Amino acid sequence: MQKVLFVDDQEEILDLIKKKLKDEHYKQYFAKSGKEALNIINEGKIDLLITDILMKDMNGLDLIEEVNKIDSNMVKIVLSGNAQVSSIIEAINEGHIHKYIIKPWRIDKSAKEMIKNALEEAEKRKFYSFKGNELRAYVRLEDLNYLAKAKSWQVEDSSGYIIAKTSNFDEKSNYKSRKLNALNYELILKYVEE
Amino acid sequence: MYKVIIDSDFEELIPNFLENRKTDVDRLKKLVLEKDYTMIGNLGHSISGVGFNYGFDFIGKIGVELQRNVATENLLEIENLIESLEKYIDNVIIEYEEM
Repeated sequence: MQKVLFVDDQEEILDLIKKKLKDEHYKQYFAKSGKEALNIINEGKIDLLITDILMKDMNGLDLIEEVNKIDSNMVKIVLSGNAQVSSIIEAINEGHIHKYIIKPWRIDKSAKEMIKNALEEAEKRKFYSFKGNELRAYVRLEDLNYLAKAKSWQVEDSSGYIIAKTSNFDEKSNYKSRKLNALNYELILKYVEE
Repeated sequence: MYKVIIDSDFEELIPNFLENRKTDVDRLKKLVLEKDYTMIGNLGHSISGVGFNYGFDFIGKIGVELQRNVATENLLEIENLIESLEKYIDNVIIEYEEM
């Protein structure tokens, strides 16, 4: 079962989230501070983190920075009414934040849908991930052989988003392509042979 | 008369919610005497957060206004807002609906 962690320093908000999401089919965890959240994350794998930004002891962006040291692949959503927009934009551009929600967060049908989509994203990330610039993908050995023998290569997801490439890869060159079957998730490898 | 329609999922939480806002009013009155604008602003932020999230937009707006008036240190307006909040909590009529 997937796990979602909600972080807000106002217990009344967490109570409200519990009420609205009581019938959802994922395990829910609640933390009243960044420190409490980190303890929960350290105890086990969390798939999705939904955190407020303005909190007393540790703000949401600092929490995300700490979480990235433990699990940079975790899907993260931030909620805020009036946090510093520049810090949030920076975090989004660096790929640390999946979504930014402006408070108040009404937990209606669309909010439940958004959590469902974020959990689907978390599922995808189980098949490839980044640590710094390093791509970590679970691919078949035969696919790895193509990567090893290629002069240059590029890996895309099925929507054409470039996940990783060698600096010498040129889209205009005469490349071959093949599907990398990373368990259930398809990646496309474009490569130029030696 | 103040009337508000609230999500029936929250019915069980509302007595505690209103009790907490009464505590907020008492704290705000004390903070006004101390002219502690920082804490008034923090409390305003917290009141706006819970107010809007629970569907009490009037309370949410009071929280926003408290924060706005802290910036100009407008104590008179802050006192008016606290009075409005107190009056609202004492008189609000709540109806619950499935949302």
